[in-house]
This record gives sequence, C-alpha cells and structure tokens, in this order.
Amino acid sequence: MITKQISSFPFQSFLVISGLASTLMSQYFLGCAIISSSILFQTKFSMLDEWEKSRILGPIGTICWIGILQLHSAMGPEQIMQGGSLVTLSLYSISSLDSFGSPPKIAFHSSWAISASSAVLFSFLENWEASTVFLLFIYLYTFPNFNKEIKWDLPITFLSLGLGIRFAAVLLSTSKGGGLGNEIDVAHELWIMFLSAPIFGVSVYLAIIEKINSKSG
Amino acid sequence: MGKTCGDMEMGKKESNLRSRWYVYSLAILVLSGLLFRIRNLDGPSLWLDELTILSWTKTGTWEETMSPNNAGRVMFGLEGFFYYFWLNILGDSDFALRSISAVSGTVLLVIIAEFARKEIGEAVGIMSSGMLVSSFLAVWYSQEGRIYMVTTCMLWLSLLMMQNSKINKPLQRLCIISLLTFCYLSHWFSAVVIILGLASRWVQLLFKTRNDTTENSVFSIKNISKSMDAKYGYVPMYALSMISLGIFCIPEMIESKSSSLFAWIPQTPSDPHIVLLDYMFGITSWTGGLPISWLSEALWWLIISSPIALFIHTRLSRDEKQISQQPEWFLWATGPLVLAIAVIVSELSTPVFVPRYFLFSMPSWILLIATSTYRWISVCIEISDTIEKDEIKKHVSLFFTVSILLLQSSWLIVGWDYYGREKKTDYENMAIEIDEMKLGDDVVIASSPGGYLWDIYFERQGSSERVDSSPLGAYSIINETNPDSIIYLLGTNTNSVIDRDFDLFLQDRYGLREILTFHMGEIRIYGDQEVSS
Repeated sequence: MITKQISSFPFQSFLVISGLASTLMSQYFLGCAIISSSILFQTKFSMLDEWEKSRILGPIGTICWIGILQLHSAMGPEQIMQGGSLVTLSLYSISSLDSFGSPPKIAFHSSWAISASSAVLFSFLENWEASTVFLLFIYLYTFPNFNKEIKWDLPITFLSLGLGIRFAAVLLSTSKGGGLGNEIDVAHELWIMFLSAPIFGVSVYLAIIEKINSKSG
Repeated sequence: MGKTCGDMEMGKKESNLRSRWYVYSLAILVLSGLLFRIRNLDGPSLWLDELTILSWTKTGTWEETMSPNNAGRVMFGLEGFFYYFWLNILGDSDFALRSISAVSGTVLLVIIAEFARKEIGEAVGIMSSGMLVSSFLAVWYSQEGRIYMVTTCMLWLSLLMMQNSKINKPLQRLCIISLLTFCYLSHWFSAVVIILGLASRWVQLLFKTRNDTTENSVFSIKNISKSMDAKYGYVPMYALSMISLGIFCIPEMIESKSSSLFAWIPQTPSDPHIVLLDYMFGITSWTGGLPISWLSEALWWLIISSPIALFIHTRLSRDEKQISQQPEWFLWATGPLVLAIAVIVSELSTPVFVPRYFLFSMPSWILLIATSTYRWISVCIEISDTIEKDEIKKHVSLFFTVSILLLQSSWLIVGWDYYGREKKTDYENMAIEIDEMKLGDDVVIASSPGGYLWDIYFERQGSSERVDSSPLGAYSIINETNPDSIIYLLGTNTNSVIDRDFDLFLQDRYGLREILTFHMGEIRIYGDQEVSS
C-alpha cells in the first residue's frame, strides 16, 4: 500500500496540473472533473492517517481553479456548483486525517450539505445539466458518515442544509445572467422558503439537544 | 430490563391489535362514506372557486400557476400548485377535480377512527367515524374541488403519525414535517390548528416529564429541556420546525391582513358554536318547525360537559393515564379554542368566521363529542351492577353511532335532498344555453364575475363563444361596435354581482328583452335580436 501511495503523488500532481491547464483554456468543467478525480484518487489509495503532501494537492488545485475562474470572470451557476463540489472534496480529503480532530469533519459535512442541497434544488427548479449529474455522483460517493458522537455535527449539518437551500436562490439569480441581484421567480422563492424554514427549526432543536447534552456531560 | 422490554413489546402489540368488531364496523362505515362522497360527484356544475382553480391550472408551467396573478393571490399558491399536478395527471374533468377531495374525505374516516382508537379505544373510534360518514360539512367538502378536505386529511394523518412520536423513524419524521408544512402553508386556519395542536401536545409532554423527574414547575427551563429528550418523542422538534416556518411567514401574514382577502366575509353570528355544529351535523334545517337547534344544542352540552365526564370517568375506570395525558386537552385546543380565536379576531379586527375554515378542526369537535359521550356511557355502566361492562359499552356505543348515522343520513338524503337539488351556480347549463343560441357577430357578451367561469365550459363544449368583457370594459366595445344585442351573464350571487349602472345603461339603450334564470345565475338579454332559447 505504501508503494501505491508513494507512486500516486506524481500521478496526482499530473492530474491537478492537467485540470488547471484545462481551466486556463476555459474548459472549466473538465478542469473541475480532473481535479476532483485527483482528490478521489488520493483518498481512495492513501491508507495513512498522517499529514501528507499529497493531501494538499487537491485543495491547492481547488484554490487555483477558483482563482482562474475569478480572473476569467466566469462565475455562472454551474461554475459556482462545481467550485462548491471542489471545496467539499478538499474538505473531504482533509477530514480523513484524524490529527485535526473533528472540525474538518464538521466542515466537510457542512460543505457537503450546502453544495449538494443547492445543486439538487437548483437543478429541480432550473434544469438538469450533465455536469450537475456528474457532481451528484461525486456527492453520493462522498456521502458523509454523520456521527452523533461528533459534537455539534448534526445541528451544523442541518443549518447548512437550510443555508444550502437558501443558496439555491443565489444560483437562480446568477442563472439569469449579469451576476447577482436578479429577481428570481416568485414560485421559486416560495419553495425555497417552504423547504428551508422547517429545516432551520430542526437545526435549532438539535442545537438545544446538543447544548443540553454538553451540559449534562 | 428484559421484563420491561417484553411488557413494552406486549403493549405495542396490544395497541396494534384490532378486534373483528372494529374492523368490520369500520369497513362498513368507510364503504358508506365512500358512497356518500362519490354519489353524483360530477353532477352539479363547478362553481366559482372550483372554476377559478381550473383557470389557475391552465398555465404552461407550475411556476406560472403559483404566480401572484393566479394561485399566488391566495396564501402561498400551494392550492394551485397541488391541482396543477393533480389535473395534469387525471385530466381536467369535473370528476377529476373533485375526486381527490372524495378520496381524502373517505381516507379521513379511517384516520379519525384510528386516532380515536389509539387515544381512547375502539368504541370511540367507531363513534367518531360514524359521525363523520354523513356529516354535512364533511360530505359537502368531499364533493368540492378545493383543497380543504385534502388538507384536513393530510393534517390528521400527520397528527396520527405523531401520536406515538417516540417510535417515529427518521423517514416518518420527514413525512410528518412535510405534511405539517404543506398544511400550514395551505390555509391560515390549518396553521392555527397545527400550532395549537403541537403546543397542547408539548404541554402534555411537560406534565409527563415533570412527573417523571419530580420537577416542581411544569414550565421550568429544566423541565422544558427534559421534554426535548428524544426518548420522550419528537413533538418539540415538530413544534420548533413549525415555529420557524411561522417566523418566515410573518411578511405574508402582514400582507394578507392588509389585503381584501377577507372583505367578503359576513359578520360573525352571535352563537357561532351552534352555527358550526349545525353545519357539521346539519339536522337543524330538517327540524325547521322547531324553535331551537336541538341536536346542536345537545351536542354542545356534551362538549361542555367533557371535562366533568373526563374527571369522573378517570376516577371510576382506574385508567392508567393521568388526567393531564388524556386526549381532551388536545381536542379542546384544536377544536373549540380555534373557534374562540376566530371569534376574538372577528371582534377585534376583521370577520373571519366561515364554516368551511373549520373543516380542519372538525375532527376535533367530532372526537370530543364521541369521547364525551363514551365517557358518560361508561360512567353510567360503571356505577351500575351490570356484568360484562365492556360488552355493554361496546353495544351502547354502536347504538349511538347507528342512531346518529341514520339521523344524519336521512336528513342529508331525504330532509335536505342534498343530491337532488342543484347546490352550486349552474355555469355549465348557462354555457350550453348560450351555445345553443347560435349568436351572431353582432352580439356582445359581458359577465359578472369573470368571463373565464363560462369560457372554461365553452371551451369544453367545443363552442366558439367567449365572454367579451366585464361590464367596465364593455362600454367602449358597445360604443365602438354598436352591436344589435347584449348578453349579460350573472353568476354565483346575482344580486350582489350585478353591475346596476351597466344594467341601467343597457336597459336605456337597448331595453331588457328577456331574463333566463338558472340556479344562482341569470342570462339577461338586451336588444332586438331574436335568440332561440
């Protein structure tokens, strides 16, 4: 296994560089897909729980991918969703390290909930793109192991779920072109409210439970 | 520990066991209820509200259906959204539009019976369901293509599911919250029932946790915290999710208060409880010669006496449940308290007393009557020397159910002639009449209210006729085209919808030639052109 891990680093670097090159050539989705593969490849074959240089390749690739898109001013709703999935995958990669404790795990769960819920709702309300379906497969593959043992994990995840649904409004707004600030359909706005409002209530309930449990030790 | 688990398991099995008597009785009631609800379902013409829903759903997308120009005008537009999908699946016939209400009204019979069975016992389940089978309000709204009965069914399904919220699995919790959210957003009165129902359940839970923990104060922070423990069920979670939804709905609530949405509602009667019970049981009209609503009055006294019945019955029957855990608290909160709030709002702000708004809380009233009756029957039997008390209770309950059922059914079918009389505006036959007139190009058709009400039937009949305008827009059309005759269609309530100025204008200019009268509608023909009626 160690042999595999050592040999995976150049391959991963190659994937990340290829992904960034594609992004520079305005092939944003291809870039996202390649960088995602590098992260998934690394998490699949890495067996050690210690800090490794290979684990930061994905996050670095993600930051560069976002930076390139910012420079190109090409942040449409699909790109925002792809960026969200890359951030989620980066956190997924970091969260597999036990040395950082639970915060990266909570961050990963939160990011997963935000990006997955916003992508699904946006697709339901707007349209289903092949790139979004690809992202959904990634979300399914990285489905978090929500754990009651991790303090504040569930309330934060539910809060993120609600925020993710609310974030779909941002995606819908940008889908009209010309960035943020576009008015979205009243029906979409209402459904975003219908879905997110009870979830916020559930997150409050879970937060109170968490608080009670932490008090009682 | 093993024994406790075994006992729990046994208790669970016992609560799931239904006697043959219960199953067969309920089956007969459900079958009768279904017949009451599907008989002549598409007989009478659709009326204003139903045709309005049809017009809302005739849009290209569901987003358009929910827009502020369509269903979005009322609450959050969920009614339009619901019917958009329902009618896209089943088609837009009268039967399709009303069928979901009929099915929901029938399912509600089972839900209410099960709810009562779990709370008190099988006898109360049968009594409640029996009273609902031919209830005037229940049958009427089971035959109307509006969302009221669907919402009532969903609301009580969610309340049934959360009856023992300790065993709610994650998927059930998701279902309950989804159902409650749908019902909350469908109608303000449904939202009130949900909030009061959850609040009363939570308060009952607080009494329970106080007893379990020897806490002195029911509403202490410690006790409230204790009640949120998942081992006591998920009622606080449901309550918090609905509170959160309510907070997000505040802007809409403020907007609807300032709108003219409730402007048509008449003043609240001086005895709203009797009026409401009359609507539910509908016997009064049959006894027209009698000076009082004797049955409604009697039922009201049964409701009023329910706390005393509860107190005496729990003392006599050695019920394991404490008084604070009995269903009357919940039933009072979701039944009479909703009416009390409506009356207070009507007094302080705008009138909101409309009998159909109480359809959501109607099961509470019926359950309360059934529970109170059962308790009084039980008290009488308990203090008597009879043996086999349970059997006698069962037979007396059955006798009560059959009596009420026969009284209600005979009133509905014979006394009121529910199926015989046309009960809604006859838009359909008015449209047929206009089509048969074979009107030429020199005729202008105006209508009050909106022309879409007749146009839907014209379209269905394959007629090329359409309503040209409202009275307001008709002046310019008449002045520009100078037609030979004018047809003015009136629907829903002819006296209140008629535009008197327009009518006078037409009479002066053309002369009123003929009035064709329909049930709650008129075709007024002005001018000289011959029409074959």
